[in-house]
Amino acid sequence: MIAHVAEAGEDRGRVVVRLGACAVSSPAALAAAIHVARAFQSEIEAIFVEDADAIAATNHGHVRMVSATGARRATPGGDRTLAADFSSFGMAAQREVSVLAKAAGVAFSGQIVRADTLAALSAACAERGPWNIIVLAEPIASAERAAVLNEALARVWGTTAFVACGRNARWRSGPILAVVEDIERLAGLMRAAERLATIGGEEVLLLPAAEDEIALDWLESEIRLTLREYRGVKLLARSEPAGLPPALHGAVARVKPRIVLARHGGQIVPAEGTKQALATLDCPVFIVH
Amino acid sequence: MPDPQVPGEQAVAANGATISGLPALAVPIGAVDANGALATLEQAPARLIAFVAAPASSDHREAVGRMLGELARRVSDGPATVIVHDFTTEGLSVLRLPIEAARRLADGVAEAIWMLSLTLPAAFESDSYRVSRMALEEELVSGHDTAIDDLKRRANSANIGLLQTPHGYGVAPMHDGRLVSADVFKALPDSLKAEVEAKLLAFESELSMVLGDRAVLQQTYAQRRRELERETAGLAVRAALGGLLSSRVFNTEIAGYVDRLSADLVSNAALFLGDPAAPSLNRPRAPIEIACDPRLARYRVQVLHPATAPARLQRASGLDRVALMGEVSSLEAPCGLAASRVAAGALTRAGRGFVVVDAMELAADPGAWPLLRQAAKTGVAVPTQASPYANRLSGIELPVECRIVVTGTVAQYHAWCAKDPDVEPLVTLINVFEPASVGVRDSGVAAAA
Repeated sequence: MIAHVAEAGEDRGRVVVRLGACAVSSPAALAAAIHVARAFQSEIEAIFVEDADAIAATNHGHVRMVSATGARRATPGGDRTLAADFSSFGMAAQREVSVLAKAAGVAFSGQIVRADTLAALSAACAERGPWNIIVLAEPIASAERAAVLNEALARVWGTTAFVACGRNARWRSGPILAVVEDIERLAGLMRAAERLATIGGEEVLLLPAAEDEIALDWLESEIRLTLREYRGVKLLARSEPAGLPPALHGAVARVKPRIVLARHGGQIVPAEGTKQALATLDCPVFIVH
Repeated sequence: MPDPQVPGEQAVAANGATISGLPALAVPIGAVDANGALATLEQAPARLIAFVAAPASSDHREAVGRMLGELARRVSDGPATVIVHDFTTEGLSVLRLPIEAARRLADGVAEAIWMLSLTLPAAFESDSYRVSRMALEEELVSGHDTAIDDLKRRANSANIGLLQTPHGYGVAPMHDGRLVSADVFKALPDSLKAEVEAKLLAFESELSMVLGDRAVLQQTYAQRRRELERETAGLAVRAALGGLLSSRVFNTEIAGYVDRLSADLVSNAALFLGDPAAPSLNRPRAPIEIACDPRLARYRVQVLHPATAPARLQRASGLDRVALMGEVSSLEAPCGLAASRVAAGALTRAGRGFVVVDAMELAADPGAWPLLRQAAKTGVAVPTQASPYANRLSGIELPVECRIVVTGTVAQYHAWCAKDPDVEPLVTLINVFEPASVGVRDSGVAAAA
């Protein structure tokens, strides 16, 4: 497992920010994107994906439109076309990212594409890869968005990690926390965490997590052995039963991390119930394969 | 006549006798009788106005001051005047309490506010509150999102797509995950077209209801969140005010105030939470920070009581309304809550002691006498309202229990009586240092000779 993103100018990858077409970006997700880009001295490309089906639907008289407040509309288009609305919203969303990037001294580029989300992300990562990190700017607040995250993790080639936020995520100062669920990923997680901590000099903490007490004891002892080589990394004092499934999210919340690193399919970011799991965390999650 | 108080100078009588054998005088001649005359003030009822007439010399004036100071030292303590915030009218309220109860109330409330500045942020940072709140939020958001997700899933299984747009949703027929175009739709058999249109109408109607219900869900969430916050704050407030609530020193009036204080603290717990973005939410606040925090001024308990004998002898410096009656100053706290403070005037500060007014100054200020007369008559002092928000504070009345002593000469007294017919029936004349008294002392010297 390597969680890495290519440096600016290498042309081998960048931080790809996927801007949702129908929701306001999470400030925590955008701040995390900037932080990751700075930590890896990379650049940001924001991709606003318009829904091609929704735009096409406006040309069909048989499609019915319902406003966000529940009011029905007789015709799909009205005075303004949906394409124009998407375009305006896309430009506003990109401007938001570009302002943040400029303030942080990070190179920025953006594009608006009309395609399926997965196809758009796949194309972007294939074009310049394989060292990309995808940041989903929309909070993962619906089953549909959780499905997009899980499918992108499974199907988009050319990425090393994803950053996603639940609806309660906020950006604050705090340690960089890596949740270690298997010893094979330990070195990669620690390297990524240390890299993320270079910007603000944050503390790097490790929280072991396992399915049962015996596995947790073993994992903790293995981490302690490995940690001898990493002076700047601290293993969280284990309070019973911090690393076990029912209490894990609470233990993470108590640490109040700036960002938490975890693997996909584990206890922090399970493949099933992703939306609920992310909603219990109040920080962005750096998800590794 | 030589001054007997100047060392080295001998008074020699006509017959050659001297007063060298007499003890040095610490007070002016006639002071013994003056003391006797002034002692009547000690037993005088509250709000008596007395004119203490004495010769115009500085010695005599100083002696009168010393004697009144001695009287003030012997005055017994009355109940303290306590100013508290009236949580019903957002004005001020005056309580009369025994001094011990007043001090305990003020100290107890200050201690509770300091404690709450620590415990309320901690309560709102606690796991139990956060978990409950997150559960509530989850219920709201996921309730709505789940309803949308569920509708989308059912629509998809019926080949209807709910396509999200920046302004809402489009409800469209789908086939194999792709939008059915207008041409294809038109080419459908009428029966199938009618079936699809019925489905579109049904999902459109259901989607409209789900989206419209969001406002109702938000209202329910807001109510339940407020209940949770009140419950969380209530625990901390009850713990902080526990000592006050169980104190036996307090009467039912104070218990009522503490109950209202408790309710207000619970309602306005957010005042103690500071800036949520501040990284050091649990940093203990210094008492001076709390005392100077205008948002918390409504919880101050102000005790007006002359703690020392000098305080019971108030020399009115200036005779304007502020100096005599006091002043209510008020500033609007940033959060819109009223913060007010009473600066008591001499009439209240003296407690049961004396307010000394110079007859010359009284004569020079035509507005002063009506104020004194009114205070003596009604027993209350109405402070000036210095605040632009004074309407809210109107009606505050401070009790007046002191004795008002006007000092001057007999001539000034008579001039005053001549000028104002109300003076003579209202003002008791106490004539000290009578020439006759001085004569007695002088006779003594002569007799010794």
